[in-house]
Amino acid sequence: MGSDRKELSRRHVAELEDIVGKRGVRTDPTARSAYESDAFMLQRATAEVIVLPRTTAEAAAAVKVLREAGLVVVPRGAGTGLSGGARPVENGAILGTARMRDVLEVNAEDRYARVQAGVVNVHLTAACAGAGLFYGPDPSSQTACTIGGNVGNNSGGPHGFKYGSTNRHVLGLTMVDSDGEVIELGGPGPTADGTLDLLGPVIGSEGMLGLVTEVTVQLLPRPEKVETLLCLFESLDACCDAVSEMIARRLEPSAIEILDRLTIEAVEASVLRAGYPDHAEAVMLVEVEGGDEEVDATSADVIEVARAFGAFDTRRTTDPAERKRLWAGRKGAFGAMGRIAPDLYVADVVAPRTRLREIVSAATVACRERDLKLANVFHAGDGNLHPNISYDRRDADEVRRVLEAGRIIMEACVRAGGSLTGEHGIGLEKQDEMCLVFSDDDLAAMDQLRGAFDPSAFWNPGKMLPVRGCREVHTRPLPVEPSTEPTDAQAPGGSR
Amino acid sequence: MSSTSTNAAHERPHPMDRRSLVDHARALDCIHCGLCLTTCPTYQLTGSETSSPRGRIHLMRAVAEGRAEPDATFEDEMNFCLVCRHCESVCPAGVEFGAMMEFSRGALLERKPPGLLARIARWVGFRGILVRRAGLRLAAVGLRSAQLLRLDVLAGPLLGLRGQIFRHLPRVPGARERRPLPPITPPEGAPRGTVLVLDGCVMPELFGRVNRAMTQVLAATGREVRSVPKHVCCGALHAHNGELDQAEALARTTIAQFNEVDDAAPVVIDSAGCGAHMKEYGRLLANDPEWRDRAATFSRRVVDLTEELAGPEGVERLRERLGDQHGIEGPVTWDDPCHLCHGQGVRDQPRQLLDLVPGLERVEMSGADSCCGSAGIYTVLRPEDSLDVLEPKLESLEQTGAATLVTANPGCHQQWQIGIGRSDKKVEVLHLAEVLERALRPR
Amino acid sequence: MAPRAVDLDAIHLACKEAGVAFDPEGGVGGGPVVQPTSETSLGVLIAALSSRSAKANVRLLPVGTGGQLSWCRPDQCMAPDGSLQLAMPALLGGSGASGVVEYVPGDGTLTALAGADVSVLRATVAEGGHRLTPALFGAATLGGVLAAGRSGLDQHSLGPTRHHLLGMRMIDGSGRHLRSGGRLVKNVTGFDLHRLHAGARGIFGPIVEASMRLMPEPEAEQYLMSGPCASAAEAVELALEVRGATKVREQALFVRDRATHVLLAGRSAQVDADRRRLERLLPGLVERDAGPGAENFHLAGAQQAGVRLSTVPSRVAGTVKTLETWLGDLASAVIVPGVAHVDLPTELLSEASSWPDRLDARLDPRAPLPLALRDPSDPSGLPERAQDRWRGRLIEAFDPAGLFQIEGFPARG
Repeated sequence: MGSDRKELSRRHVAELEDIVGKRGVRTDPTARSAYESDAFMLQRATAEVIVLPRTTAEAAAAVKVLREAGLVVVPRGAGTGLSGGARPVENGAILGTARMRDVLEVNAEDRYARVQAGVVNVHLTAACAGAGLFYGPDPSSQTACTIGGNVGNNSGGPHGFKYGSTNRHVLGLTMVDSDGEVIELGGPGPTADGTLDLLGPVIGSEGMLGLVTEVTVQLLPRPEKVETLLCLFESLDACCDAVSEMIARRLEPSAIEILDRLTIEAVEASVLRAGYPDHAEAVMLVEVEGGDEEVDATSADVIEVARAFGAFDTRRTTDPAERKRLWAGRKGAFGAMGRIAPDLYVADVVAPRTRLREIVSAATVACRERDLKLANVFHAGDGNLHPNISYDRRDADEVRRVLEAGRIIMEACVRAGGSLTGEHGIGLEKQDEMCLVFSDDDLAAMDQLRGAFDPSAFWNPGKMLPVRGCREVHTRPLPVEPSTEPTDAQAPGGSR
Repeated sequence: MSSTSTNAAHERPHPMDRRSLVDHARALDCIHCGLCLTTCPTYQLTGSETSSPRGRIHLMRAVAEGRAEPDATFEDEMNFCLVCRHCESVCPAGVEFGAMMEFSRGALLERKPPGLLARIARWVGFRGILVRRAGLRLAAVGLRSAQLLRLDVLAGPLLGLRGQIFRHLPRVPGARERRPLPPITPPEGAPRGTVLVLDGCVMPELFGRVNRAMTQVLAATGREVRSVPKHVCCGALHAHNGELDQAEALARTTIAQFNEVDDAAPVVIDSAGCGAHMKEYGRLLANDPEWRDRAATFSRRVVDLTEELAGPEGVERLRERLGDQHGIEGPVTWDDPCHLCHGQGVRDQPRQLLDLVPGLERVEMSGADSCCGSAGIYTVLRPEDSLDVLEPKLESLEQTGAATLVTANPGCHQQWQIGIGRSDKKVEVLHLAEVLERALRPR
Repeated sequence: MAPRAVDLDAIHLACKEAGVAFDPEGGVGGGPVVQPTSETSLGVLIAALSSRSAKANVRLLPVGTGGQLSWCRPDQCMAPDGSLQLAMPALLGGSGASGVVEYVPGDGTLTALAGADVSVLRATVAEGGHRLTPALFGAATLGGVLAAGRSGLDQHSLGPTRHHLLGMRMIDGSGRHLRSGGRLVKNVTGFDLHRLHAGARGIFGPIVEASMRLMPEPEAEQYLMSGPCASAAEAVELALEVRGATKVREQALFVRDRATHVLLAGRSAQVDADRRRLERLLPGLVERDAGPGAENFHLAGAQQAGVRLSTVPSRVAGTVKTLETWLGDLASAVIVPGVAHVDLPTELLSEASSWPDRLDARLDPRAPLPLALRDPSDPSGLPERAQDRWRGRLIEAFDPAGLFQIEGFPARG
């Protein structure tokens, strides 16, 4: 990229301030530096200006000014993303939705809500609780992340096992395109026959097709009964195998999560102390919801499988306060790792659910060989693993080893028929690794898709798709290898 | 891998090297996850990540690593923070944000002393008034005279928003109510040992009745209550505003004066800000080998009034003594002072105590644990921001339909009175001790 | 639409180049058809036709069983002229081949060729204790179902078919072999090109292979039906009550013959308990034989040839009432209140010659109308908006020669 830096003129700043108010524009370098990364901290860049509109109309007007000023735009919600998707780019502005946080409508009868993109995930659920409804996707950062950000990343969460990721819940979107035009896609009714479903490609497009300003989501009726189960294992492998068995037996809890010992210790030392026992090598956290009878039957089955795979203790609770505590621990696990080291690399890989144990072993070995501290916490039911590697970014060699281990884990997943990311997105972090999964033609097609929505590469340019051709990065996608039974027992995961 | 201590958080000292502008080691605890954002009053107000806990830690770290200058924006962001410490309650990484902010503000002061006028004002405030009983009395008498002469009405047009605050300051009560607590208040019923109480700096002048109510209620639960007449100020406001040397000196004085009266009895505090600070004396003096242990021991004796009363014995005694002749009509709601819920982790006890009072209907206020904008002297330093932060709280109060708002910190008490006064709402603000005292039946 | 003259020579030449069999009258309805037996040859054929398409004047129409050959309003249904059918089942490699690429029972996923017959797929996964969504019975191929954007009655609780689609392989209008998504139940790697193909009626080129998330076979299943009501509207009210009863977790629900039909599925104990609750809710409740895979239930409520009205649940009862006062007895219509569909069979509409206009006027103007009711050839009155430009550019990108375009699709708006 060239170095012709675009300056934002005084006139443009004044125009932006007219549109969004003085508090909505930040131009001084110190203020802008706070936006130099999202929760993915390995790469940083400074935005030319931060613009925080309050409405769709303000956002559209701001886009016109930024475009005229020759800048490109990076959309940003709360900046809790883990792949660098909301990091500024060269000659780029940040267009943030943090002040767009009104719940516009909750319709209990037709079970949908319309919200501004900056509404925080938990605030949406709180807003519809009175109607006996809730919003399905519950990313672990749900106390801070925004619905608009969830749309951009097609975010999941523990309960994605039952409810699926964001794309199963979005009914309609209001967007602003690069000309500042406002577009409505979909709506509360079912998708009309006879036209293309543009929602599909927009959800999960990491802010590269336009700025989402309003979202219509479906709401679900609150289940009659919810039970949370805690199963304790002496080995992480046994715990993984128990999950595979639950999937194979087609049990239908709403969430199946695994935390390893190091994660448990970090959580228990934090304000989110959940009461996870410290003598277990792995904890399986399961939630079962539905009708009374259904919950009873499924919980009994889950416990039976857990015991058969060596769970030495199981606990179950329906008490809301207790359940909340158990889940707060799980959802804060990533942050709690901050106690172990200044920085944390949160991997986010997916594998077929029959091959969890294989990937955990690969991660354990990769980290042990590089003298890195690994903690595992994952959405086991979905085959979505988060091997968390702690490091100190001031140690350049450690950073290198972390990235190397991260890549090895990704490669192991791809070989097992898995993928690079389950919910965090590609962003900046995994651009090159896209070549492990897709061919040049696939990637060219994706770039054409992007170009159809945004011909001038105005939205979040330089993200997700590899900047270099795959031939420079890697020759071709990795072949998928069939499953092999592990020949001998691996050392329990979670190197210390 | 650099290792950072995970245990004994409160004992971790401020860095010895005051030349460093920020507490770098603490900044490293933050992994930038952003879970703190929505709890932050200034982020709620502006939507700007720069004005969030994560953003401020980022700035501190950038300055410490030489990637950013401690310029006007940096200073403004440090001062914009209310140090409500709500972020600490949700931080999974256990970042000690309050301590970091105290240190950053202290370093900023040392590096770049404020202008002459501000310096004089700070000197008068922090060294002239707050720490001397005579100074506090003089200030109270001055304010009372002004209020009696209706000079405060004039202050509005003269001083703008700051003047408005003067208009809504609590009436300074007459001298009778401003008299100090008696050195000893005897227990009622079977004695349960001695407790020490903090008279405080502003409390006796503006909220003397609250201190007296606390004493009454404690005595009613069988405690012998002893005050420390010599003592004036715990130094919390100094620490929050970066006057760390002064804060350390006041901590030493406080410990010495309390220990002189009794060196083992629990120290009961009815002002959340003071309590939270005194519980951290151990950390404040951790660099002082002579005082370190004494400070840590003292800190462990400090309890909030609600913690003291909500113990099993306290509850049992209160149950016998509380009646429904308190004259409090309509629903009441509890607003958590930040330095009680976030600073001390005390959330259930006050609610439990209110629920003990017969004939009192308690309603929960949404966002009760978010900051009201008082934040010590913030009201005076940044009146506009302070009122903006209060605004959503006033809406939440309206939604509860409560006729009485109960809290337990003089700053919050005063802030609510200002806010309610400006909005012409009819809601009475009471300290929890006052509610309990009104409900005490004669023996 | 005017008949088009096809340049048969150009087609012959392209087929020869690609090594694909061409039959001038072996297609559905006696039309011309190509029968590629390998993906490579299909890619070469498309590339060849794409470069010659202006001259050949040909439209390629991927065909499964032919059930969705025409995408048109009921009074205009006919096979499009000038189209060359592309027989997708030919890729399965002869009769008897199931088209299953990979079925992993332990993972609950299925990958199959687009030309695979869904009934064969359903039987395959049933052996591992799984169900395929959508629950559509009758002749259809996987690719056809996906391209048509069809969903079954199980949409009520499981969502539309596209929510179960995990990934695809496809060939675009330039003959490129593409891949999007994967075989994983959770995956956000790259743009979801496959979601664009779902419901796109093949205008971006044929779907070659798709991966689907499977649902577990329920432990128990009951097909329950209320006694007949006085009107369809009344039955709809009852059905909406069942939907609103949060204690009953029905899997699917529809109204036909003025009765409410309910499918309960799940854990045995739960199904029994829900049935007891339904007995209090629905008068004259009877159990009917659900059949294997609840086939009987799904067939009883299957979409017929006719018109589908779509709205939102709260407007279904009002819509049905309006229709009843106008058309009389709605017994033969299938009404799905939870998904907010009303399917009107052609016979019901035969008398009402000017039905689109009259229906337009009578229905609530705020309810989203099915696009079948708009004249697709007349986009006047709708200004071109950004989303229309997006659609136009998508077509330019993936079918530059216009080989796969259909008249009137996609509609604007």
